[in-house]
Amino acid sequence: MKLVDYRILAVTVIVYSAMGMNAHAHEMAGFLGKSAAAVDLYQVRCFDDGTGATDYLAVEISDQAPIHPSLLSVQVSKGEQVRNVTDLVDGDEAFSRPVKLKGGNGDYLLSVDKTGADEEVYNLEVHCVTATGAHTGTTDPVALQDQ
Amino acid sequence: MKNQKSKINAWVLALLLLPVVVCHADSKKGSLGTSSSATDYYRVTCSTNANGATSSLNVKITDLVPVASPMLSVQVIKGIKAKNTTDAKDGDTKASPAAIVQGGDGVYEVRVNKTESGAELYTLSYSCINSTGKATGVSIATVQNQ
Repeated sequence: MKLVDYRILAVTVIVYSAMGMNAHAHEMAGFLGKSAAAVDLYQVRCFDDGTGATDYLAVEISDQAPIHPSLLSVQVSKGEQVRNVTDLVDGDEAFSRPVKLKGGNGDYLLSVDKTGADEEVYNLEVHCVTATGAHTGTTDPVALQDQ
Repeated sequence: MKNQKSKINAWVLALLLLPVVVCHADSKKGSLGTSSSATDYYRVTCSTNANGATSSLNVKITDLVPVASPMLSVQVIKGIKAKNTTDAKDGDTKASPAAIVQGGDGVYEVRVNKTESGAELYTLSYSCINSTGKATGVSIATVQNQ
């Protein structure tokens, strides 16, 4: 009986820990249609949730299985700044390195595209981060164009 | 004989004028530095001229020699409309297919980037056209050069 209680406790701790991590992850799945011209557009808002003002937005992309020749990229822009990152390995579940844009609080535009005419599935992860590296207020990406 | 000569002259004239009619795209050469996150950012403004109002902005990119492994892409964005094109072959002097955004007159954002680290040279070809394919007013400004 005591053993069962410990197991329930352990599972509860794991579940609550995972929920806590997800609350900061802001990860979402997306899909690009076959056309090589397809672009998905998203807007992400960074704000001070009490942790502190945003210094930069960090974005990563993961090219999910099935494996196709096309490479997936995401560009992050705000004002007159734009940065790009590409996931060079399809289907390995690993994210690209993060691309960081120092734009402070406000709305950032994300564009996701690919190099060829294949259907592609991807995961995006976004974090608004303070100057001290703390995770601050981040909205989930809002789709503006889904192709 | 005179008729035949006139016909030949007409064809020669037509062939001479053809590039003027068809190739009305403007172009701009650019380079991207070694960083894989490097992005060049342009604003292209399409405007009404004697041919009427703009229907779309068409943009192509040519990945120039030296041949290197990064692939070059360009995204054209106006409001919540965006299209991408990639030059899948470096150094062959052929342009990518056109990325076409039907956004009318106004300012379009044009971003050039690449898939990995390594310096790259490119030519950007851009044209604002009306609904019948004729050139409308166009200008370009560099916003970010990386």
